[in-house]
Amino acid sequence: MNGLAVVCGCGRLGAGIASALSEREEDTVVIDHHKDAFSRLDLSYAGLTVTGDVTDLDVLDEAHVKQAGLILAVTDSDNVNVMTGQLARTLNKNARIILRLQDLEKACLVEGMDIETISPFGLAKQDILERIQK
Amino acid sequence: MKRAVLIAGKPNKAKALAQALMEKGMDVCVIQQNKQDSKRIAKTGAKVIRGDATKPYVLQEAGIAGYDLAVGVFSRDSDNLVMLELAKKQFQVKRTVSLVSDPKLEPFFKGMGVDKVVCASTVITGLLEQQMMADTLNQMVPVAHGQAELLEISVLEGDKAANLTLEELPLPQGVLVASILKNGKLEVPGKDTRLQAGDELLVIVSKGMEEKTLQELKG
Repeated sequence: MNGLAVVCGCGRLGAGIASALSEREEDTVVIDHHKDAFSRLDLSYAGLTVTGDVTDLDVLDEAHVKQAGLILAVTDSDNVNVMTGQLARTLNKNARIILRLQDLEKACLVEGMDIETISPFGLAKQDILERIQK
Repeated sequence: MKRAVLIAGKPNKAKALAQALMEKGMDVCVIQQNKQDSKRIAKTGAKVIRGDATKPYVLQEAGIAGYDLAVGVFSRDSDNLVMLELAKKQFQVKRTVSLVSDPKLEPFFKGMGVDKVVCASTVITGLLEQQMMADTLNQMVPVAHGQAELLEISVLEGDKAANLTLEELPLPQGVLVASILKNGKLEVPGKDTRLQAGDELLVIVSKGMEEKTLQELKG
């Protein structure tokens, strides 16, 4: 992977991904508005943490979103993830950006912005269907 | 035809706005999550739909396709943004207006297709500035399509302009003293007209020169 990874949201998913990236010795920054959320990170997490709102331009700046190669918006709010993804794209033309969406109907909002979306619901559905077909 | 408006967000703001717009004769639809808030707002006579206004199927149910205006007054910027983008992209709402918390986000919102962005802190700062100027101003009327202001200014004892003639007064470019009310009598001033405490001036000022003009007059 190229460059810094910025993980927006340090819930179970965000913390899990940030810890795994750090384990792979990627430069990683994780952002959450609750400081306590960082306790979900592995003890061995060697990246940075930034406390703040992921839709705040100053916070994204502090997390070096402009220099990032990968930006993940994985908070528990679809709306926040959409806005963070769009903000990130306006700040950084080249980074790979991936959003987590519960409601894939909102994926239309990032169409044409070179932003990828994944839905845990969609992934689970696919997995279950594949398993029961065997 | 009546103009149709969608409002969603904080219940108190949504209610007040709904009432104001209905008084102007618009058709108002409000979307609210909470049952009690919905009932309270329904009493104003607005159409109320219950649900999350940032979900496409809720907007569908509200029947907002082709509405003239959608206004987002959520406290979270992301909720306003998502709702208004959906309203515009999927439901062809003509104009969208959003409240934002941070003035720095204004260009971004506009870039995402929100037509008008209102930032409470900017509005309040503007009002405060106007209020501070208003203490020395009796009247301020925008003229010439907002390119100039017509100011009514009283000359008080101790003002920099008191006892100076118009020629001696270093008024900035684009500022014209149009008339002077002296002891209740209207005078058209010449360059040797002397200003005195108690005079009321009508001044035409190009946009942006208001503060500088007041500074020159008041000191």
